[in-house]
Amino acid sequence: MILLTPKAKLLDCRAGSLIVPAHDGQRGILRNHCPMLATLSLGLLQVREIAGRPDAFYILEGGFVRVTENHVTILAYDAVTFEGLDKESIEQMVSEAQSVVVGKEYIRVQRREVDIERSRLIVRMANLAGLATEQAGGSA
Amino acid sequence: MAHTRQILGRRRAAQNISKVTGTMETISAVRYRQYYQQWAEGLAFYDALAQLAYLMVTAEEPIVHPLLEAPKSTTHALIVIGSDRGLCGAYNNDLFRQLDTHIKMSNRFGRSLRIYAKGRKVLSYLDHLKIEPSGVYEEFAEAPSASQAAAIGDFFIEQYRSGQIGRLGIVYNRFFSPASQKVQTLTVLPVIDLIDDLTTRSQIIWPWEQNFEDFFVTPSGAEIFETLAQMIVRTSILGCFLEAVTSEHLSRVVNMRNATDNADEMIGDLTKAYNRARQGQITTELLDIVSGMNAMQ
Repeated sequence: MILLTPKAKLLDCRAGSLIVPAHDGQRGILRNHCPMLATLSLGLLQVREIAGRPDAFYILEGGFVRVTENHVTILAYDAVTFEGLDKESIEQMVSEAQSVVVGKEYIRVQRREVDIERSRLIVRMANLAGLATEQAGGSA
Repeated sequence: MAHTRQILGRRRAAQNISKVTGTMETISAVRYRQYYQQWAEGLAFYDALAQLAYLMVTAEEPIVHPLLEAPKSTTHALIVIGSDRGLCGAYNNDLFRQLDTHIKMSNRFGRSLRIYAKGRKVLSYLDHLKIEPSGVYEEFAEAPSASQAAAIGDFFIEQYRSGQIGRLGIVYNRFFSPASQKVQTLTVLPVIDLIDDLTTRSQIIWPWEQNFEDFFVTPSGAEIFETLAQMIVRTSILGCFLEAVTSEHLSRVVNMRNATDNADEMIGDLTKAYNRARQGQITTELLDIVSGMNAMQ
């Protein structure tokens, strides 16, 4: 599968399974999936069973997925991910997202400075990636 | 022969110039490398987008969509992407020449022109032409973020749909490769022109990869085209800004390197002239002393 944005090629690898945030809900893609073209909405892209590295997760906001002969191409405007970030910035991102989700940043949410839906996804992504679980326990 | 102090002063000036241009070259070289990497990595995205667009417009059942219809208005909108700072050679001048063509031709054919400017140099040129820009992009320094580009794209799509503009072009320095950048106008709307450009520009598409198999489409074709057209317009605008700024930095690197080399050469020449003048001065003084001594004897 290949994940592309206008500014970077984020991922180019072989993967066992994918879960993509299609416009009408999540879609799982396994080997020999039928040819498909679908639009994406805001959601979490999960890439699992990648050879030689841990699973990858990306938050996408709109775009396309195209499946042809076991090649999956995903086009997205931009992706939020933990890949390539150092530990501190990931922790900061997750803890900020958690405080939004539990309602501490209510005023900023009202002013639309931060997006609650996006923060929820960041927390979910952290849980899936097995990161910062002790922080999640602390603030819940 | 010039006085030694004058030569020294001139040499100091040349040294300062060399220092300034050298620094500008270094800064631009770093920025250029960053943007170049983004550009290079983004190529695959535009290729994939071109493939998708090609698939959609060659579908068995033609898609009917407002963005595919002929333009309703005779007003042309133009985004002109120039630089904020000078010292980048012919970068802005080539741009202005293209802009002149647009102004001249739209006058001749009775089209009205709306100009959206980016970069202080463009603004001052428009001021010189006594043209009021319809919009100025000041919210980002060099290249917009994905969401800013999306906002620009949506604005023009809306204008096109409501019939306020018939065409949207972007005048910018296109970055073909590190060896070639050229000013050109990219037609963004009507979107069919842009798809044409996208598909012809992508060079690394394997032609036989376009297998015309039936595939499952969700949601319907028209809805997908809507999203696709939006994505093409938004990302092309982003790509143009990115290419323009990449070209700008490259052009500045090249020009500043030349300027530094010239200044260094001048410093060498002035040093030689200074040494010669100094030697001449010493010789004259010695001669004075010697002839004075001779007169005394």
